[in-house]
Amino acid sequence: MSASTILTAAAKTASKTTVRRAARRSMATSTRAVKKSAVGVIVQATNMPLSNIMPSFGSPLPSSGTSSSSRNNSRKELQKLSGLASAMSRSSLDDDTSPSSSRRSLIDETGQVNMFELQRLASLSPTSLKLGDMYKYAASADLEQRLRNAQFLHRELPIRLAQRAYDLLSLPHGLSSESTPIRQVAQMYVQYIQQFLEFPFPQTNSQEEGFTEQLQGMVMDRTSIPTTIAQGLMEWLDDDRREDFELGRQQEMEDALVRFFTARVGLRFLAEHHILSSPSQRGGDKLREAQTAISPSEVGAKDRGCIQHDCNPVQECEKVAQEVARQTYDCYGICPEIEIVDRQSDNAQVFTYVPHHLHYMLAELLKNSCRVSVERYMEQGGSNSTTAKISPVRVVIVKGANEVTIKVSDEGGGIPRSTMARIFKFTHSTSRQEYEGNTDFGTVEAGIKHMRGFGLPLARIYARYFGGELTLKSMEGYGLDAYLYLPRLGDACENLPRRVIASPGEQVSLPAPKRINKSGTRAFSTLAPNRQSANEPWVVESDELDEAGWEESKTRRVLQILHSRAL
Amino acid sequence: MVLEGFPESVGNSVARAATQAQTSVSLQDLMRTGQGEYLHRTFQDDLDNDHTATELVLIQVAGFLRREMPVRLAHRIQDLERVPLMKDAKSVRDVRDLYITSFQELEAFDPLIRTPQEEEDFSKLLENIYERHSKVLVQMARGAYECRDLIRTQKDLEFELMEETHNFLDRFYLYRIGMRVLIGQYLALRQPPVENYIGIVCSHTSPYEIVKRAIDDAAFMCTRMYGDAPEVIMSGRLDLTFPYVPTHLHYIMLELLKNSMRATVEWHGVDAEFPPIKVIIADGNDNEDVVIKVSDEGGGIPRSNTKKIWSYLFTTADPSIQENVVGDNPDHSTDSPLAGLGYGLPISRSYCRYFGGDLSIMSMEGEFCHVIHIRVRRILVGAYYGWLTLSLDSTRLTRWIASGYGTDAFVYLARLGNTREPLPI
Repeated sequence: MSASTILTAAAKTASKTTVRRAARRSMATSTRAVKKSAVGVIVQATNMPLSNIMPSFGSPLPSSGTSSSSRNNSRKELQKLSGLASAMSRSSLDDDTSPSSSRRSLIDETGQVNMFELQRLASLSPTSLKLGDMYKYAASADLEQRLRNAQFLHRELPIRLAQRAYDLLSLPHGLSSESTPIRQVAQMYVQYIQQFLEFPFPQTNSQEEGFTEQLQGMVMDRTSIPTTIAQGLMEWLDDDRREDFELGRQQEMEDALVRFFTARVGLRFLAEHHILSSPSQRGGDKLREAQTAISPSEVGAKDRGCIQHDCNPVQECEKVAQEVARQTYDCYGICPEIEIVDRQSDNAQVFTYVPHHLHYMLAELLKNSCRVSVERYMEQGGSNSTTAKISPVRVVIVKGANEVTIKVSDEGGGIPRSTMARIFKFTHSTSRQEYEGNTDFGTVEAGIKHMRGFGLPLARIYARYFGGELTLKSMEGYGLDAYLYLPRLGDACENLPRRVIASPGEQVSLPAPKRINKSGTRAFSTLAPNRQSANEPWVVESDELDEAGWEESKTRRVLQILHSRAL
Repeated sequence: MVLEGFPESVGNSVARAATQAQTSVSLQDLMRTGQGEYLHRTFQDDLDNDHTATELVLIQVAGFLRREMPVRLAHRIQDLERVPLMKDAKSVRDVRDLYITSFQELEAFDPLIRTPQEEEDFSKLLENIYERHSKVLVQMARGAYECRDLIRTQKDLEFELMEETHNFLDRFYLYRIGMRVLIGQYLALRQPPVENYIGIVCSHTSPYEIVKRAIDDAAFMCTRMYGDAPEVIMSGRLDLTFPYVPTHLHYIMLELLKNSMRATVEWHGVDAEFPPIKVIIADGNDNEDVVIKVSDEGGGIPRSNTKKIWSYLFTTADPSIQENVVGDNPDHSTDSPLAGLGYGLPISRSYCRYFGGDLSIMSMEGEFCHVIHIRVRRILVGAYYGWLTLSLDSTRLTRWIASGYGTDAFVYLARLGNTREPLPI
């Protein structure tokens, strides 16, 4: 771990010098543009040749026009290796001569975001973590390892946060400047980065605990970001009614949001895993409570971190069902019967998974099913009619060789096939009739009353994060079946398909990277052993059976490639 | 275009015909044309006292087909010439020659059809073509089979997943369905009228009746093969009718029920109690679609196989059947020459999609276990413990213990019939 951290630092240093030089060069040309721009985000995309400064998110070195400097950089790295111990310990911000620091403030005095710094950070390559390693480190009580994990996170999280913020701020068609909530979210992230950079590099266990507490502060605030985005989207979509509706713009926004939320799941996963695997358990219980309103199962020695190796899907489902039933009852006064059919054989009751992801997805599906069942019952006359009765919601849980499948079926009338494509979008209009109805009576994540329409797309992102899938099949006039496929992560998360094996969802959260330069990869091959997957085109790999989904994802991919070329 | 074995003029006329676009037809168009609602489009004065309305309709349809069929055939010939892998197979070349012959015959016929006599001659020609082309499906299957051997000896490709070949076969069969629907409709219009039928389209198709017939056929086949067949329970809107082509629907439902029955019997064992297969028919007054769901508990399909079930080249059935059908000495004494070729599902999906619907399979795979042994034990355990019941306010959580699961097939059919054929633009 430490070797890779050193190399990360070396990479940063190397790229910093080249990047800074190029930045100073083009700073001169674009100061005029800077002065002209209004208060807000500094517009840079039009004036600067981005390829010089930040070719792609995937490679830390510029891939065009500076190949000679890359050779210099590798030599510099070797020099750095010898003197890096001192460099690492130095973490002062205003020491300009130190190669590893001199991070100018991301937010300058006027409150604007310094895009150059942000770009610089965003151009560094993130390191993928193996799920198996994460699980192993959580289970061990080794304090040394824990300190190294904290140090790794201290370097890694700013990079990932910066990439998210940069992605949001550089959306094309002015999506990021028009829509204030996007900018607000990006600035929120930039503030987090600032906090990280100001926090000293943890070198002792007490510092590490302080770092963990700070992480917790960041993580505990669960709702502000999705709420901001939801509100902003409502305004953005309503504004759009004025002009001709452009499908391309909506698709861009949609893709950006998918990328954003997928990466956010990853960020929170890393952070929460670190917090929860703390041997002192300080604040861990509070976090668990905040994660899920469902009473957490007993935290044994093996349950460190987010990943639980003996997750029993039937028990989790029963807990979620009780909670959803209670909420439905509170809201409507009546609740359908929730039948849980357990179709697992005796010798395979448990599997490895992240319980609070499972709770979120199940809660979403059960909530929807209960609501439509109740609404249909009301339409048929409710308690005034003698023939109407409320149809049950049926949950079937099956475990196969490679995955656990959960099917939630209701008889709530279904939805027409033409609207099926819309329910998974973040950006569908909130004014038209939706499957989710008009009242969102609270979800497992407490207090998210404003997240209308986000539940299903988020649930699908959670499902796909580890390589699973969520598919909805509607029978118009009858009901709806939801199929949730969850891959079995193996006892120690080692049974993963290749594309899932490291920091799952990582490749989804990056735009399509260009080919990494041969000379560049040599030094960095140990950093990201599974970088291979980043060379694949950016697709959301899922076994979409229906043609509509396949066509949709093809269009998305084409748009993505065009988008990356524009960058 | 240069066609081997044919003079250059033929190649030229095929190329010329292929530049024209195909006309896309919807179910409603078929019905309306058959009822004579579009006669004014062809005939200036429909007070033509020489011919009856039926004769006029037939003349109109014949004229349309005389113009349309060569275009469609030409597109198919061009496609057959371009497909990278399969065009070298002997059977595929035979199919291509067949198409070219039909094209030539059509071109040779007088383009203007004005009298019932001409129309009758044209119908005889079409009937010949229809008969001649009925073996094309098996011939293409043989071609695919030959290609597979070709590939396996050369490279180590996973043939079932070769996308290009699959796309070609998908397109080819879809357009073949289109041609046969048009010709079949025309030939059926020439027959004496049957109540509720306009050609091959029945305006009051009852899915309930068709599924019942399909159940009988499937149960018969299943019993003949295994000795017993599972029960099928139907529910939902049994009184529903809508305009559709009954033969298509029968083919689709028979295929799905066959698969479900086979899965159930093979998973649970011939002597065990079969869990019933459930068929649900869904519809509403304002629906876009009629949806039919067939669910079984036959163990399910692993998610890694779900792409393969749609392939024209993958089958879990007995390989000896394949050999019999497409090998050197074809033996068609089995149920249908296509049984065991793995074609049923993809072709059913093409039938569904042709009129604007869809077919999808969702599977829940359970764990395989030695069924008979464990089931006996389970039944005893079940009887002893009964059902576990937990109560909470007005919600009851009930739990059964069992193992293994199954597949749900969803058939979507456009209810209004106004979707145009899927044809290239």
